[in-house]
Parts: sequence; structure tokens; C-alpha cells
Amino acid sequence: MDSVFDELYEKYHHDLFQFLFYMVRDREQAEDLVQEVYIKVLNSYGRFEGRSSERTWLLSIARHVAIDFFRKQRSWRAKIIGSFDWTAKPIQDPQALPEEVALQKEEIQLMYQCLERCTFDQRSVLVLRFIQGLSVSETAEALGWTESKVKTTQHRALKHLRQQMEEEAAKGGWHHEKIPME
Amino acid sequence: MKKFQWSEDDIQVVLKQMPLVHDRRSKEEIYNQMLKKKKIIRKNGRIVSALVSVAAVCFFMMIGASLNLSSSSKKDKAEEHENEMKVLMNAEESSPKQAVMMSTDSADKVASRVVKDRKVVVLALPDLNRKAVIPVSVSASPNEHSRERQLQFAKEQLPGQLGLDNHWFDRITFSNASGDQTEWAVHVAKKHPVFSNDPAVTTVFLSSIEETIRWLGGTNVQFFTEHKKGINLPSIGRLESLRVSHKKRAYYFYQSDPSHPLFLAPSTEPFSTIEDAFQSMQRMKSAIFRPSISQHVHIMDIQKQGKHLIVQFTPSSVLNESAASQWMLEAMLLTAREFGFHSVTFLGGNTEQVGPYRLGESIRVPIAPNPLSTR
Repeated sequence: MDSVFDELYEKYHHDLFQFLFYMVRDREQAEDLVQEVYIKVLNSYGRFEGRSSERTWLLSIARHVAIDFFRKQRSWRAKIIGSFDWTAKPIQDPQALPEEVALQKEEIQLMYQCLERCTFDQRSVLVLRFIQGLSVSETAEALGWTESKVKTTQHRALKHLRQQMEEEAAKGGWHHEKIPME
Repeated sequence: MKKFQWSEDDIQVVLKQMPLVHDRRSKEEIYNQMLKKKKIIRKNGRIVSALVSVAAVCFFMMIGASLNLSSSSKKDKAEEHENEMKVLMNAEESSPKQAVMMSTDSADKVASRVVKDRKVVVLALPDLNRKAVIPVSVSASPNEHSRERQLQFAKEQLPGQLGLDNHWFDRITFSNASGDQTEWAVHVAKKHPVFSNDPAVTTVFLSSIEETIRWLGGTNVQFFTEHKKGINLPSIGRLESLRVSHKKRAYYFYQSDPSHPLFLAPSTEPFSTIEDAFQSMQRMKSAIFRPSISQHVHIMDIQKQGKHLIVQFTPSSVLNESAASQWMLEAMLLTAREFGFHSVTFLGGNTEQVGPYRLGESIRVPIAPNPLSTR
């Protein structure tokens, strides 16, 4: 086994997987993407200049891999939707809750559902700042943004997430509805 | 949970409590899977660079050729045409797998790519790279009377060595949901490859179902995952039904490689006129399909007389006894069928006979494409 892979795996695999999982919300997809991150990282490891920390460099690569994934998904979906004659267009079902989330209290399940309604940038900031525990400056490094942009996006993301959770909870039905488990 | 209001601080607290989600694979598994993926990316990269190099060589050859074109153009064209035919004939002759294509008449030198007068069941199979969907015809069983049973029988008869995925329908069952054969229920087992995360598989799945149902005369499909209504396709979402409208298609040549048979493949895009369809059959540029109308054939005129079509070639159009000429006419006949014509007369060209087809005489359009010699 490649010694660089071995070292990166030991230090950062959990961080990378966690980030990709919360971004794409699908275990199999996260597994596939994390491999892509390693391929990219191993190909360019020699060129890493150390201007940022290794951790934020890896997370920035993971973010780009996730952006590519969503771009491809969107273009495939548009292509497929445009190619067939639908009686009703396909509906994107609420995804099954991953086991780890399904075992948590309802408030966490609700948040997991509502995180999907945040934009990609908002979700990136929320995941990096609060789930991954990065500081504002580390988040800025990983995203290639200024610290003030991180703060503004974070503020808007928290507000949006709160609104979504309140709306969903006010509908009243969400906690009675049985959400499927992975 | 009764709380309907949260402060931003509360939200931050709940975010920090989101569970840790672990990768369930071992380090070794991940490393091995990564190596596999890396190999696939490299292979694809090599194919792309090879294609770029070939395109560049062709481009320079075209520039070079255009510089000394005028005097020797007629001779060159004839040679070029000979080469074009040779490529197709080599594919035809060299492949033992060609035997899976059925000749409808034992006197025919070239196995026909169309069904003229037999009862068949058409199944649309993806190629092994899952990039194209090819309809193939299997003789209907004389012992089975319902369409469902005929389909099942046809699935079991599919030969290997086609360069197509002959197991594609193993986990799919069709049942007629209306007396008039217009509504079909498609039941897909959970282990079918369509449930993988590959959007290309979703596309070929929908195309293969649409094409199979179209040949059954169906207009609407209801999807089921095993017995539960609806199908959740990873790339597009949940789908319960699909309308199968009559799209008028052109037919191209498709061959996965020279060791596999050449098929007539319907276009993915529909055409509004037969003229546009024929034009596309000659100009098609794609990594998957090849033009079915030779560059050395020129259509001078197309006349529509009710359900009869007359195609007039220029006298200089090169038609002969080769497989390529016969399959070209068969692709045109199938395309005429798509546009509602019952018969076609081909006029002009430099010959009177192409395989079983006599120029100047009315030819009935075929029943279906790509007859297979079954197990």
C-alpha cells in the first residue's frame, strides 16, 4: 500500500468521508467520491506547497469533487428528463435516513432533512464549521473564501436552516410521519 | 418533540450533535477500490487521447487531400468506396459470431438485418458499454399465445456473442395491464443494475423499456419495484409511469467491434420528416453509431404517394451486391416504416439488384429489425 495513502487515511479519512457524506447525503456515493479525492490528492501530492494546512487542502479537494458530482447529476437529470415522454415527471423522494441519524432524537432527524434545503455553499459552511468543527479561518481556507464571506454565509445558512426547521415542525406532521431507515 | 422555535444558538448546538457517520469499509478495501477506479480513469483517458490523435490525423489527411483533389477525385472516390465496403465486408466475413444473425432466405448471400414476414418478438438490449440500445427480433414461439409468455420465451432464447447485454431482461418482467396491449406493467427486481448509481444505466434502462414496449404496440408503462408501485432511479428520482409516444426514428449502423455482428440501431432523437432522417443517416457523426447511407450514394428526389415512398438515387450513386449496400437499403426501409409508409421503390443508382432487393420494384417495408438466429 502507498505510504502517502496510508498516512492520509489515518489522519483524514474520517473527516473526508464525513464531509462528503453530509454534502451528498448518500453513503454509497460518498464512498465513491472519497476514492476520487484520494486519486486527485495522490496525483498532486508532490505539488502541495503547504500554504494551507493539509487538512483544509484535502477538504477543498473534496469540495470540488462534490461540486463536480452535483454538476454531472444535474446535467444527466436534464438529459434524461428531456429525452422521454413523461406522464408525470419523476419526483425526487425524501431519501431514507442513514442509520446513524435515524437512531437520534427527532430534532436531529428534522435538521438532517432540512439541511438538504440549504444551498451547496450554505451546507458546506455548516458542515465544516459545526459538524467538522473547523474555525472560521480554516473554513475560509478550505473553501477558498475570505473570512468575512464565511461569516456572512454562515449567518444566512443558520437563519435559513432555522426557518426550514420551524416551517417543517409547524406543519405538524413531520414527527408522526415514519421516515424510512437506510 | 413539541418545540417549534429555535434560536440561532440552538441551531448551532443541534448541528454539533449531528452524528458521526463512518465509512464501513476497511482501509485495504478503500485502497483497492481506489486503484480499480484509477485504472478505469486512466483507460478512459487513453481512449480519449487516442480519439483526439485519430481526429487530428484525419483532419490533416483531409487538408492534404483537398489540396490535390481535382484531377484524381473520381479515381480516389472509387478506391475510397472500395475500402469502405472492404471494412464492412471484413467485419461480416471475419466474425464467426455473425452466425447469430439470421438469414431470412437461404439463397441470400448476406444475412438480412430486417424481418420481412415472420412473427417475432422485439427486445431492445443495451450494448455491453451501456451506451446504445439495439432492438433485436426473436422468432415468436408457436406454442405460446399470450404476449407475456412470448416475451418470456424470447428472453430465454437470446444468444450470447451479440456484443449486447443478453441478460439485461433477466430481472425484468412485462405484463399486459390492458386488454388492448396498450398498457404494460414492468416489474423490476431490486438487484437489477438500474439501481446502481450510474446515470448512464438509467438512460439505457428507460430507452430499452421504451423501445421494447413501442414494438409491442404499447403506449403507456407502469413501473413496479418487485410488486411495489414505482421505481426509484438514483439519477432522477421516483418514477411511476412513462408514456411511449410514437417517435419517428432514423436507423444507423452499430457494431461494438469487428468480432461482433453489425446491427441497425434506431436514433435516440426523433425526426419530423423522412428527408431529415435520411440526411442524418448519411451525415451521422458519433462515437457510437456509423452512417448507414454511404457517402457515395446521393438521393436526388423523394416522392410520397400515399403510403408508398419513391426514393430516386442519382445515376452515379454506387450501389452493389455488398453487405453495406443491402443493409443501407434495409435501414432506409425500416426508417420508411417509422414514417408510416407501407412500401418503397428505389430508383436510379448504378445497378438493378442489391441483395434480395430489385431496384425499380416496390418493396414492402419490414416488420422489425435485426433478426436473430436463436438457441
